[in-house]
Amino acid sequence: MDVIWSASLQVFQPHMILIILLGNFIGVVIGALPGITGSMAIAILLPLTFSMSAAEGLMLLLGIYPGGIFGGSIAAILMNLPGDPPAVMTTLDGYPMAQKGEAGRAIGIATTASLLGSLFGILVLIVIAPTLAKFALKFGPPEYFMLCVFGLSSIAAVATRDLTTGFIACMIGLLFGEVGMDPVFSVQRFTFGQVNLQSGLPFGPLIIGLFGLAELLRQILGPLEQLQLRVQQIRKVFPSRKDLKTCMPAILRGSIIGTVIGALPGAGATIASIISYNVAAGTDRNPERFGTGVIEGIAAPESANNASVGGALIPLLTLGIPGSTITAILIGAFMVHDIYPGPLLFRDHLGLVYVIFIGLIVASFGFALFGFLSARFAPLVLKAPPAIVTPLIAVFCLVGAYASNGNPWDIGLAIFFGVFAYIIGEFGIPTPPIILGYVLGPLVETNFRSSLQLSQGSLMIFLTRPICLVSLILTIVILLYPIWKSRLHEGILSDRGSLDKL
Amino acid sequence: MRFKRLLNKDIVAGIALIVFSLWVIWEAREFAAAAARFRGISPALFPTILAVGIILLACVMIVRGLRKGRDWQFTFDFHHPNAAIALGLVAGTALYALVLEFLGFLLTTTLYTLVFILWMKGARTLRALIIACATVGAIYVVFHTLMFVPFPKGEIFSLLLGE
Repeated sequence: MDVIWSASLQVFQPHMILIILLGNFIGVVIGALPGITGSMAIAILLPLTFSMSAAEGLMLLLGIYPGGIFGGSIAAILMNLPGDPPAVMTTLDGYPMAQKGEAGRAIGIATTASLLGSLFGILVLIVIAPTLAKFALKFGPPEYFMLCVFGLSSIAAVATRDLTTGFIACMIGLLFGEVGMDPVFSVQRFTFGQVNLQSGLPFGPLIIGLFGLAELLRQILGPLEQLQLRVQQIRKVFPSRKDLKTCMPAILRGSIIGTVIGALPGAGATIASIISYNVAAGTDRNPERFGTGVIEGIAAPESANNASVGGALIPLLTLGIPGSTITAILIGAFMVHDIYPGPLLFRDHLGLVYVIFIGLIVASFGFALFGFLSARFAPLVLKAPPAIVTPLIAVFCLVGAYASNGNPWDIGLAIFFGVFAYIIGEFGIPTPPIILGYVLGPLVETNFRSSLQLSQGSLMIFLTRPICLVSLILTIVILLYPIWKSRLHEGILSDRGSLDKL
Repeated sequence: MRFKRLLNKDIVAGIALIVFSLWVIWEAREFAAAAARFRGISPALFPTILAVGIILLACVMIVRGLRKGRDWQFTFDFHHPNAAIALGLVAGTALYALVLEFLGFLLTTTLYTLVFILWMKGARTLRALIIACATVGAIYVVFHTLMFVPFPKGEIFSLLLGE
């Protein structure tokens, strides 16, 4: 109890609160900017923390981390431009809400869901971190592979209108993830001899092209009234009691999914947000509503991706295993101060552990503050005439594409993918599964090959391990569910037809 | 008549996807050969599995399209009032990427923003120039000054100043 009290006193000092809020602000702004990721911001600001105490430095970085994850949702809602991969799922319902003039309400829901998800993840981190860390260690390459297969199958089955085109989009995305130097044999794959493609297709230009520029083309070439001024209702930024009641099941499920998936090294916020969205859509009475601008479609992925922050810190703090780029950089921040995360951290630096826990809670309220402020003011951007906003979004896309690597080639790639996404969209092939396939591609392939290496080429490895088997059964269920549902729907319609005839 | 029946979105997309997948399999054979001297799971295995999967799904699309009949028109409507703006966006962005290092970030981006606003009739020249300068200035401060993103200064200025 004394440790908690002294940690609270340390965190609630004015300068510590200011550091956390500064981290939150940087995180939210950077998360909202396409082309700059939270990990990039933490890497850039890491040297600043060298002159600070361990607690101050960690508070700054831990303020950026959840702030950055949440910030991605703002651009996703306002411009259909996810600032980071976990925000891709938020575009599905967030952007349609903004188009209906409900951008403020959408950001308000995203903020609330992120706050509750984040608090849930931290609570689990405090209470059952060691137990969950042991479970996470049971995941080997076959388990990771099957988890990714489940995630991708569920997005193809639930988040898209058509299973065939959804799967095609996933596979195209997985192929995009194959571009570059093979990690095992150092053989170039699909690079056309281009040096710029040797390290793979860059994420920034790909996401900006597929989402930002393609959407701009759709708007410009769409019905002319689409380019008219959209009236934005931004008086209410806090969710109403009714909205909260509607979203609460999705938030709760998303928080649990986010924390568990976040605790798996290498899985993280993106898979968590996909699975959470798909579970929310799959368990809804009318899943067809999802993708048209429903609040549960924002609450589910947002609660999951922010709950994954607490989850990701579980293996980091308890076992010293960084499961993502951000936690890998965070481990560096610990080591600079001669502190090594792992079981000994709880014995030797218990005070610091509680400072982190309490600091994370403060950081959650901090990013929520900026979230509600942005819900009030950010939609004002959409109040400007589209003839001005459209060019500014285009410039924003170009700068974002360039900023990720500082290479004009990336701007060319962004426009190529923009035109590509526009064309395939006309053929009914959705873009979100492409980007998710691309993000998960290297993880899927590496674990597939490692599994086959372990089993000496036998595919039975995916059937003989309990976690794999559970994932496989869930995948089959989620794939058969839409077919079963459409048959049921057809059955009901034909029954109604017979009744009408009678 | 039979050809017109083939003008279906699913059929056109299905054929394009099969051609793309065959190319993937062809390419995969090449890097499989490059890695043949090493032991282990071939780097061609996973892309080949994906390509075969796409071919199977593309066949499903084609069958579906044959059942539906004709439903496709040209994707790009050249008679749309904004068709020129859309083509300008694509061409202008490609041009932006080509001249960025020569003209520098500030000049290229300001010109791009100004021309785009004027073309979309968003504002008159002076107002458009103010919006363009303010936007580019804000982007420069956030990305370059605060986030240390290196923007090209412009080779033209080095040439003019004789550096």
